[in-house]
This record gives sequence, C-alpha cells and structure tokens, in this order.
Amino acid sequence: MLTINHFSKTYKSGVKAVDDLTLHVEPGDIYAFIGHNGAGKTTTLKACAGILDFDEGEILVDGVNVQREPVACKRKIAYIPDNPDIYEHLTGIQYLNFISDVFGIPAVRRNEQIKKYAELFEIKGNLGDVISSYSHGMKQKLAIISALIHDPKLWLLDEPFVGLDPKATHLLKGIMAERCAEGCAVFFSTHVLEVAEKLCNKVAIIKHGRLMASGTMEEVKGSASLEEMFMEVTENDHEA
Amino acid sequence: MKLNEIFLLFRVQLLGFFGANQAQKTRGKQKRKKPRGFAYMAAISSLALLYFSAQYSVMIVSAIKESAISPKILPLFMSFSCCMMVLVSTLLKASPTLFGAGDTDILMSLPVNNSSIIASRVLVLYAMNFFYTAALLLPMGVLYTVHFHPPAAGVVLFVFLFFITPLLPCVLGGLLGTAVEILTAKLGRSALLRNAISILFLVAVMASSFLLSGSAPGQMAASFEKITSKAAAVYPPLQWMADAFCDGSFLKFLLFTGVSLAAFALFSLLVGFRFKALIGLVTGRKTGRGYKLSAAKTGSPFRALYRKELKRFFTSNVYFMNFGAGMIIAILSTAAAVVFRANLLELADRTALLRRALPFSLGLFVCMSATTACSISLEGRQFALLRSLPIDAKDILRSKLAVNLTVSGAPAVVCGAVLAVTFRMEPLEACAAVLLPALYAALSAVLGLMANLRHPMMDWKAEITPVKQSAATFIAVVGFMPLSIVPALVVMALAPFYSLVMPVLMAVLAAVSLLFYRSLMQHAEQKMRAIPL
Repeated sequence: MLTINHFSKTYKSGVKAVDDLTLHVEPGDIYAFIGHNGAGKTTTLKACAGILDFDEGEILVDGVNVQREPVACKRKIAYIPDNPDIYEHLTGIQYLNFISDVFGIPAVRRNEQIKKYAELFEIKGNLGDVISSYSHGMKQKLAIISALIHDPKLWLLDEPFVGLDPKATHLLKGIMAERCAEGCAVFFSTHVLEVAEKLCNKVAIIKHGRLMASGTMEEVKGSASLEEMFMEVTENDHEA
Repeated sequence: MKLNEIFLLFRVQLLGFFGANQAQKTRGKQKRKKPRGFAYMAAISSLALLYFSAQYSVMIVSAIKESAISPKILPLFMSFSCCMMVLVSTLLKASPTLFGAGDTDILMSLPVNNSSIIASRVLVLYAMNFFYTAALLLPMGVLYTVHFHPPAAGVVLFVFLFFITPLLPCVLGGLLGTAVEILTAKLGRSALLRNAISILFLVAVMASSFLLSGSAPGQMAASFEKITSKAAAVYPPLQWMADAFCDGSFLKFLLFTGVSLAAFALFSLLVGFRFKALIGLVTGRKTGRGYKLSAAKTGSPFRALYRKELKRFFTSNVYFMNFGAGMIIAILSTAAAVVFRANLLELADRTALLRRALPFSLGLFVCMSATTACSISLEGRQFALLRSLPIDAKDILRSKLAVNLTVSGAPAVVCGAVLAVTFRMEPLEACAAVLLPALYAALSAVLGLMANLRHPMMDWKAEITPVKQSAATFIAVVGFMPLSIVPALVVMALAPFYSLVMPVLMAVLAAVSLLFYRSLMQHAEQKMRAIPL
C-alpha cells in the first residue's frame, strides 16, 4: 500500500531530516512510526502525503508515484497533521462539505458518512459552529471525520491521539482496526508507546533521520516491551 | 504601565515586521536575499512618495507666495493630510492589532500590566503609520524652513513634532477600532456585521475629510486657507503643532505633546483596565448544540475552493478592510458621481481630461485591491492540509485569482459602465472605462499571486501579520500603484493621440496579463512545492 524506497530529505538550510529511509506498509497493516522529537517522522509523513518535495528516493502509494502523480496519490490517502489546523473561518459542516466536494463525494453518501461519524464522535450538534470556537479535541475529531468520509485506502496520521478524550481515542483505535481488516492501511506517528504496542502489527523506529529498526512488532521488540526496545535502540547507534 | 515593559513588548512585535528578523536569523542565503530585495523596493517606494509629497508642498509654497497668505497654511495642511491618512490607516488595522494578535494569551499570562500590552500595540500601530508621516512631514519641514525661515527653536521643536504628530490620530483610530469591536460583539458578533460597521466608520471619517476639503471653491490659496482653518477648528492640535514649529512656541509644543501623550496614556490605561473583559467580548463565541443535518449541496472541487476563498475574504475583517475598502470607496464615489451628475457633467463636457482619467482612477483602486497578494500566506498552517488534498495546484491558484476578479474586477467593470453612461463618454472612452479596470484587475491579481508565491509568510499567529506586515502585500499595495499612475500620465501627455495610445495600452495590459498568467500556471506545482511548510 505504501512503499518508501531510499527516501532522503535535505532542507534548504542544509539539515538532512531523513536519510535513506526504506519502508513497506502492506494492506491491513497498522504501522507505528516512532522516534524522538525532530527525528524525521513528520517530514516522512508529509512527503508520503505529497506535501513535501524531496530529491532522493521514491514513494509509492498503492503503486502510484507521489512525485509524478501527486493528485492521483492524494485521492487514495487521508492525512491528518499533528495539529488540527483546519479552516477556522468555516463551520464544521462547511469544512466537511468542502472536503467532500474536493473528493467528489455524492450528496447522499456524504450525508450518510457525516451523520454516522459526527454522531459517533459526538460533535453533530456543533457542526453549525465556526471551527475557531472548537476545542483542540473537537478540531481533531473533525479532522478525523474529514479523513474518513472518502474511504481512503491509506491513512497517514501524525500524532492522531493528541487532544482526544478517552472515548474518542477508543473509537479511533476501533475504526483503525476495522478499516485495516477491510484491506486499508494505517501509517502513523506516535509517542504513546503503549498504544503502538497494543494496536499495531508493525513498527519502525527512526533516529536523526535514519531508520534504526523496523518490522513486525514481535520482530522488533522480541520479549522486551516496546518502551524498553525503543530506549535501547535510540541510545545505541545500531541501524536496521 | 511601565516604560520598560512597553518597549520590551513593542520590540518583540517590531521584530516580526515583514518577517525581517526571521529571514535574518534563518540559515541559507536565499532567505536573506528576499528581504534585501524587499528593502530596495521599500526604499524606492518611500522615495517616490517623498517626491510626490515634496511636489505638493512646493505647490502650496507657490500659492502662499503668490497670494501673500499666512505661511502656516503649509504645516497646517500637510499635518492635516498626515493625520487623516494615519486615522484612516489605523482604523483599518486597529481591531486586529489591539485584540486579534496571536500572542494575547501568552502575554496575559506573563507578569506584565495589561495597559503595557495595549500601549505596546498602539506603538505598533504608530510604527506602521510612520511611513506616511515621514513622507508627508519631512519635505514640508524642509521646504518651510528654507522658504519661510522659522525661529531656530521652531526647527528644533519640529524634530520632536515630527515624531509626535501621528500619535494622537493613532490613538483616535484605536478608539474607533475598539468601538467597532464592542459594537460588533454587542450586536451578534457576525463577521459581515463587523465589516459593515468598519466600512461605516471609514466612510464617516472620509466624508468628514471631504466635507472639510471640498467646501472651498475658487482660488487655490483661498482653498488651502479655508480648509486649514476649518481643520484647525475641528482639531485644535493642528494649530498648536503649526504654532510650535512656525513661531517656536514652547508652550504650544508642550500643549501638543502633553495632549498627545496624555491621550496615549489614558487610552492604554482605560482599555488595559477593561482588557480581559474586552478580549472575552471579542473572542468569545456562542456555540449551539442543536445543529441539524440537512441535504448537502454538492459542487466541483474548483467551486469548493472558490467558495472557501470567498468566505475567507468576507469573514476576515482585516483582509476585507485592507483589500475591499478601496473598491467600496470606488463604488461609493461612482454613486456620488451619479447623484451629483449635474454639477460634474458640465466639467466633463468641457474637458476630456476628467472622462479619460476616470478609468485610471478605477484602475488605481483595483490595483490596490489585489487580494491574491496575501491569499497564499493566509492559508498559514492550513496549507499542509490543502496540499494533502487531491487538487491540482493550478486549481488552487485559479480559485484565488477568481476571488480577486470577483472582488475587484466585477465591481470595477460595473462602476466603469455607470461612469461611461453618467459622463456621456465617447465610444473609445466608454470602452476604456469598462475594459481598463477589468484588465488592471487581471494584471494585479496575477502579479499579486506571483508576489505572494515569491514572498510567502506561512507561520503567522495573527491574520494581520500576512495582511499588513508581509513583503508581498507591501509590494501589492505600494508597488502596484504605478501600474495605473504611469500609464495615466503617458495617456494624458499624449492626449492628441488618445485614439491610438489607449487601444495600444489595453492590448499591452492584456498581453502582459496573459503572459504572466501562463507562466504562473506553467510553474504552479513547482512554485507551490517551494513554499516552506
């Protein structure tokens, strides 16, 4: 579903954010991407989402090259940034209609989807309010709904659980598992290692832009906990 | 309210102006080159404004010498013009600067006085207006000193007066801005209502200015005398300023300085005292929990982008006021021309100059209304989201151009048509009245977008930063003016060849707009990718 081959990204300032990263996310995977702050997680996710340009390597979404066919790739994905920076001047429903129009979702289908997820995340009553009046968690819920309404094949999520209440976190984890069982895939960054350990079947650890470990959860952590493994991998400089 | 607190807060905000500090402190040569180019442009624009202001002062000096009227007319008139410009300009940006700054929460959590926060923000308004003050007062001071020899004390006092003059209109503008916010909040806190109230205040200020300046027909010297005497009667600090400079009156200087500083302190203390309540009033929103889903209206991705962009324009007061006010003034002026048709028709029939200058005046308003100049920057942190959607970069740019054409082009074409009928223009003049503003709308929209793509400012906290303090908007507001002024001067100079020059000019404008548009579309994806995230 997502193939990252020898991906490197160097910013104009000369900083190499990601160095020769190779990863494969298969359909059905819930893939956790973990690392320290500034390790290169967001850069990788943004490059996968077609937001960030890069000069080395290639990224394929469902076999389509992100750099050569960005629009076709973006039709297959949903990206949720680490901060739910969504158009604050729009109301919740206007924002969802905007996203639906962009993805060309028919009126009946979008109404069903919006109703279903807005009720599930308990923000249906607030859809008429401007987004600037929403709390961080409500914005995050709206961003999640907007990512769900077009049934993406691949989810790219940057710290998706930050700001969510326990019920919404539980719901999101359930939806992720449900979607992956249907053949979709989720690739997400997180600092909550317990969640990654329980939820994901695969994990990748990145440090200073270089991949330190990757594979199935069992392969990577062995008999230790993910936290212990993470500490060990990030403190010693051995690569995957 | 402590002075060191005020200056500390002021300095921090000043560092954000035009992204200069960020560019200076960022590694990479490319980022440093941009502010340098922008600084050259700012210097050229300042020199141009200084030149025009000096020309105006020279004209007043000649009028004074020919008619033997009081030389004080010169400082009175130029200070009046300066105060009006500062007042109007402050009114446009007072609300977002005083109450909409992104650092309010963090500043209020620090051990600083609320009055100091307000005082520092008034100083920010003052700094933003200093451009006009310098351009209008500096040539006046030099010319008055050379021609009318004020006492040495007066010249020394002028150095201080030069810095103090814009303070009081800044405070008055701040007061009006605060009134706009309170009124809007009390009446339901709708974005459109805020725009309407702001426009109402702006029109009131401009109408009073026109009433003062438009009631003195006849000789130029007599006109200046009448205008200044009326202005000084309404706004006595003007007279104190002129007396301090021309007569070297220390008492008047103390009075002028005292009143300006007292107004500044009083405003800062009063608004600072009620700051918490005002912020609550301004930022608080009623949220309903009773939203009911109804059948959704579908549309194309372009239509969705266009609607989003249009909503952005009308729901942001600072965006609307800065790029929409010009067109509203153009519409009101056109309406006034229709109402006072009988008085103006005789003049228009007598000279072709008025009829032929009108399309360029409309063009000037259009050029100053390039909403595209900050439309990319206004995406801010949401730009990542927009780029993650399956939308062609060309469609994103086209939607921004379409909004610009809707906001400036469409009303300008209507105004042009109305003026053509009102002033009984000849066929070519009528054609120019309709087509020229439309061509200027297209050109300024494309150039505005190009300027914004070259100077994007994405990491702002408050909307006023990309709208008022970004290099792209400065280029658009100041740099685009010559686009209509220079061709207007050329057409006027070549008046006998009007039937040849005008079609050529329109063809050139159309060709240049098309050329830039094609280049923009050709490199759309590349340019969008180059924007830092």
